[in-house]
Amino acid sequence: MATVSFKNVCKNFGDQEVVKNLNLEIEDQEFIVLVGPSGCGKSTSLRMLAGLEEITSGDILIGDTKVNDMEPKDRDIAMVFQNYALYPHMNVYDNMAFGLKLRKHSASEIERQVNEAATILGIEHLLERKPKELSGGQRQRVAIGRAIVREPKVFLMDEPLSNLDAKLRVQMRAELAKLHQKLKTTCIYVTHDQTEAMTMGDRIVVMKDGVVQQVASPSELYNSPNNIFVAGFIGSPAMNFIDCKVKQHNGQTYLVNEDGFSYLIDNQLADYNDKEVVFGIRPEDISYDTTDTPKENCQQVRVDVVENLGAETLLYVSFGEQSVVCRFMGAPKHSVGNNINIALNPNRYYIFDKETGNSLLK
Amino acid sequence: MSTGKSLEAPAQQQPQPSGSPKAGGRFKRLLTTENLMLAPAITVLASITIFPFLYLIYASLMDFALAMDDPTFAGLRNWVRLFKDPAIAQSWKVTLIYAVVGLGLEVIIGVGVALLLYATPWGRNIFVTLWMLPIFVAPVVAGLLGWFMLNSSYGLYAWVLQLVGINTDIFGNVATALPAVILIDVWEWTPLITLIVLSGLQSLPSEPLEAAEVDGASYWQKLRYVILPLSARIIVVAMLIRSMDIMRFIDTIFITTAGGPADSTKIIGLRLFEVAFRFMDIGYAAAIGLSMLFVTILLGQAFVKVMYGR
Repeated sequence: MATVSFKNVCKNFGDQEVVKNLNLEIEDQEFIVLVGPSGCGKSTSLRMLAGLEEITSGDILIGDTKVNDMEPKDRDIAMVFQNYALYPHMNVYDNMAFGLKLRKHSASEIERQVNEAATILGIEHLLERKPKELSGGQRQRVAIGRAIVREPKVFLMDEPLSNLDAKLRVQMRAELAKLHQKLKTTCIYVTHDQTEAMTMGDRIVVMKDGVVQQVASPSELYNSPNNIFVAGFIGSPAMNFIDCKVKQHNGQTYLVNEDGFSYLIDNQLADYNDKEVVFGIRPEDISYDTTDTPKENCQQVRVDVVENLGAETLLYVSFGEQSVVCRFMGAPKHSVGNNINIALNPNRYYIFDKETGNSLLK
Repeated sequence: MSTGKSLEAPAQQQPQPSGSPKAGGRFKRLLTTENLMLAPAITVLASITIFPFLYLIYASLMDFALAMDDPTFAGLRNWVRLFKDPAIAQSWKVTLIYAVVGLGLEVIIGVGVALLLYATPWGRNIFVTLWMLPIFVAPVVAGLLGWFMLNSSYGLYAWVLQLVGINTDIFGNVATALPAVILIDVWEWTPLITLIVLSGLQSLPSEPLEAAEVDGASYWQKLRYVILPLSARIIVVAMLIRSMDIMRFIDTIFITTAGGPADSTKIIGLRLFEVAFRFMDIGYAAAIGLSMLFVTILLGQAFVKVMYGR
């Protein structure tokens, strides 16, 4: 078990900067998730830590040891790959025992460790099989088993669940979280799926175009995103964004736009009077407005699409050119084409600078 | 399935009187679009392989010499002779040595060079092109080249060998002729093994190799436990192609030693050539040819077993 530090780490492929000045301190026993759209540099960061990619500049430390020029085999890490990367010619037992054999553990010790890991993962009955005789979920268990038998300082997981079907992914997600609670090994997990990030990470690193956008706990990311990218990336369905202008009226500050949108904010935003901003509100912070009289922070909208998910309903509504997603509990009460009134929660909103995308609420 | 049936059925019907209405119906069914479209290909295939093959069987059962008027039936005489002929046994022995030593060297060197090229981070294409040059040389030319180089009067290699005290006519000495022709074969055909194996190495999935690195494997351990097992199949394919090639190979030896001295380089292909076109004994040559085909099929089967039996 160990801490991991990235200090000013950069990675270029030719002229292209893939990772730009990455600084990250990962604590011992932490489960940290690197998340971002494809091409954001998250996998490259992980592979640099594994030693599979060279670092262009900066330092990577595992514990107190600088590992920049160390071979992967000397870094004492274990990695789970997206495509499992099992050795196709070896059976499950040999796949899991391979790393231990290379480290010259005794045969009895190897057998004990492999059996222990197989029991944890529920694959004892598969030990004699070849990878091609296993299902995707079983293969991924073997790949995880191969990582945990080694008892490494750090686990690296590169999109380990993305080749599994949806149901299995949810199941394995919970199992991985449980496994981490049991083993307490520092774990760095790469995914493009914000749900995985939110459910598994102690802390989440959101990356975009090789730059870290925010490092925070899941609830902090959700409640106070640094910028419009993080706000839009975390949460499903994604946050609604409405372009509008700041207007002072009778000593109060409103956000308004040409589609008839009007929202009273308690924040003064004095510097932004008459300037363009982006208003953000999460689908779950919108409710039905059942009163007939128009109120503050209410909006008449037309229902475009109704998605009934059983426990909840997603309504895709619009007013003027603006589309908004709303999330309500229970079965749908409206059908397509209806005009309804929605109420925007007056206390849970986000405002971002139109130019920089940075949050204006602090 | 239905196509197969309709192909078989008329064959069974043939002995029947041709006027029967049933046979006519079967014949009509044979003329389906797919069969008609297959027909040209099957005809060509039949004319270039099946007919000569059947003719070969026929010839092997005849007393068939080009000089004689008409072939006469010989029964199994050619076949009995084949198994009793010490010259044939000698040729098989030479072929075995030629194949095992030549192929062994080619595989060891070819795979080694392929691994080197695979590990080369830059300029791989230039090295590959240079290394491949011998393949583009016609085997006859390769033979002529070897003959010039090793000629005891003016050959460059012979001169070098003489400098280190080896004073002999390389192709005229029973002890050196076979090694010399094997080395020419190795020179010409090792790059083919490299080419096949390198293409196999380049198509290996990168993730198991990376997993092995992370698992703690050194280069040699990675080679021993991951790279070689994963590319075993392609190496067997290369060996299969080369071994079948060696079976019917004569060009280089024909040019350099013509099978001598004292039959020490007369591989079975060359023996066949001699029986057929010098002694004009077509019947016996056919039997030799069929026996070579039989051995080649067995060899191919063995390789395929190794390939898929794992």
